[in-house]
Amino acid sequence: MADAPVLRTVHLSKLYSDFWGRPRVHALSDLTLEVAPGEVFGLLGPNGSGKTTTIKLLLGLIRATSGDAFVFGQDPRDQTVKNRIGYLPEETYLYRFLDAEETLSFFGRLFGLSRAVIRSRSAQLLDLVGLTGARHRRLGEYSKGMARRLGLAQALINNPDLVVLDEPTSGLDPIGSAEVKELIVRLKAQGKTVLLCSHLLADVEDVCDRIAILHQGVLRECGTVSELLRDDARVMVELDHPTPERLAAVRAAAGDSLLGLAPPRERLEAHFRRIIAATPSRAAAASAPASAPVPARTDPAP
Amino acid sequence: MTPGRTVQVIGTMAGISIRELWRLHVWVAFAVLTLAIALALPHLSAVDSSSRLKLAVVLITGGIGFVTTLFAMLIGASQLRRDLDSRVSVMLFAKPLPISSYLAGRLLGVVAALGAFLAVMAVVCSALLTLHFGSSPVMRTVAMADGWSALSSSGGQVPIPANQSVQHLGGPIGNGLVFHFSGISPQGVDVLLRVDARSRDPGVVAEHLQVEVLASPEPTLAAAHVLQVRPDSPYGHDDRATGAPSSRVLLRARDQAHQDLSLDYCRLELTPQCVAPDGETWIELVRFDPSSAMIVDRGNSLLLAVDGGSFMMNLARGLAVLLAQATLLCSFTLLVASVSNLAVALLGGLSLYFAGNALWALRETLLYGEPGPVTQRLVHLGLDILPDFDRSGVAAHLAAGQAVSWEMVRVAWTYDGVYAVLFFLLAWRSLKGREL
Repeated sequence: MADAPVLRTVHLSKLYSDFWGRPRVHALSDLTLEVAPGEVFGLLGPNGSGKTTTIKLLLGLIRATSGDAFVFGQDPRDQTVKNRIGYLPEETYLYRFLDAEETLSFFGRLFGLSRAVIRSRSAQLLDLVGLTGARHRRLGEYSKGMARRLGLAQALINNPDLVVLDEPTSGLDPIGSAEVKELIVRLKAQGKTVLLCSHLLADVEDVCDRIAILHQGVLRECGTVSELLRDDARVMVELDHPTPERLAAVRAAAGDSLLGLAPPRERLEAHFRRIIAATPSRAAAASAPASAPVPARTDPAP
Repeated sequence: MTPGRTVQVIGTMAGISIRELWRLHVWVAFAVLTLAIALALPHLSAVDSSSRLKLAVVLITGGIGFVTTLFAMLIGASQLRRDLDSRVSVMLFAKPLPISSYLAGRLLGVVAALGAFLAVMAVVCSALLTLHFGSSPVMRTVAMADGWSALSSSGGQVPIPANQSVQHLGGPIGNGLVFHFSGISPQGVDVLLRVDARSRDPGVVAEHLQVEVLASPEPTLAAAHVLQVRPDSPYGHDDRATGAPSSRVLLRARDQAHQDLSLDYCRLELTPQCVAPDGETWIELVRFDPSSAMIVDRGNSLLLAVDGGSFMMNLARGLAVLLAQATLLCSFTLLVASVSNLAVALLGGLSLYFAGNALWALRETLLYGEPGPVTQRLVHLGLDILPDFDRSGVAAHLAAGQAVSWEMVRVAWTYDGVYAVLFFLLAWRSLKGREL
């Protein structure tokens, strides 16, 4: 028997009304989907497509107009369910008068964690998100990216079974974005379920097992990434050390059906990370040559 | 959620409220208030030192009451509105934080922070008074008579009906009143006496009148002892030129407006032999002035007073009464802030505060205004539902030298607490129905 789904929605709909009860926006219509344990599930869609509404319904922050939502088989409004969820909202809403350690301590205490557990997890998480050096700075002095990293840390303070990330890479630099994606992969390796909500298609494509595409509140497509992106009408040939003779042979073999023949391009994100990684820190630069050699590419994309 | 966990979560929210207030330097307002009081004390003008001290007490309690009321209305509501408007609430309520615990934490945080500030203010202001005046006001706890009876010139006693609160004594001298007290300690008890007088001659103002005050441990008054005026009494022993016997007390006429325990009451010493072993005593007030009639009020003409403790402790208890009102207002503004913005919450809080301080005006409207039936109903409704912020009168109480008892604190918290709980429940209901 398959594991019970971590998230399940059945004909879930949300209609926002005005003060007088008149219908205003149909944010979500008849959404039915399931997310299995250990899965990284992507919720894709343009702005206003109903992604955040879906998340709020799954967190019990708003009430459904019709249909049902279940998290770990229970009503999302149940407080015991919330103990197992880590949530990073679209914007990082934190108290500016606290510092990073105090913030994690505050959220940890809301989960009923002991001081010792909070202390050790805070240290681990701050290290994970790269804020150890800024842990005693007030959040009012944080940049948007730093606040986002701390938001991510607070979402993990309770060691959740389900992590809900709403636009987790927004406000982060490419390195931060890549680290978040690596973190999601690590969470998956630990058996955690991740619901990732984004309109950055590359983010979703890189880490998600399955994706659902929402538009105007309606589920348009749902399936694994390879299922949805597979194009059986075309085939890609990779050639190592292409010589003119070999290329000519490929052209001859393909004939009129050949669409293009060009060297593969490195992905911009990988290129950027390689440049940054090769640049010495300011302290090291003082005692090093002015320009360091850029290391060779190690991960060329097809 | 278990009760222990609920308490922990409420404590966490209260802690974050207090931390925020501390980081926002809210204590500066109280420091400025203390400085303002310290600077104002030398400039208070009154007829004598005792009146200046009284004025200083009114200034201190009034100033602290104003700042506390304002902060109670502002802090909780602004924290709630900030959480809703900046969407911190989305982050909070995605955690296992019930709305009731969130609200309770916010309310408790404000009350605890204000309570701490008020405790510090009680100590600092008491010290300021002592430094400036050389001493702090003497506080007394007073007890009213359990019952009273009229005493005829021939010595006969006639019980006065329980619903009668004022007695006029005129006619031939030698008549008077007998007051019965119980549960009295034999040591350190003063008799406080204050009566109003009317001259029998319409053209003459009655200023003084002679009386004799005796006390007995028996209802028959057989073993009655004459009570002596204490040396520190503001009046009563100052004029022997009348040729009156030394047992007589020369009272000054004091009407209902004069109720300062230090200034307006003649103080006599109740000796231990006047008190029965079970704590009962009967005090006899005999009139010896043929030219004027005496008006005696059962509630506050003849009182027994014991030491009411230090001024600092009484001020602290008085501020605890103010804190009960602050809790009510904080709860109310939380309710308004849960449905509207901060400006409306503050306006609502101020409206409730001023309405609750003006209930006397509503009562007078009913008594003297002859309103129409609709207005009458509305006024009655207002009197029934509005909290009465003027009922405890802490400032007047302390200024009059009357001790603030724990009973007063309990009554204030019970009375204001009911309103606070009601507003809290409405705020909870409103937030629960809100979509984040």
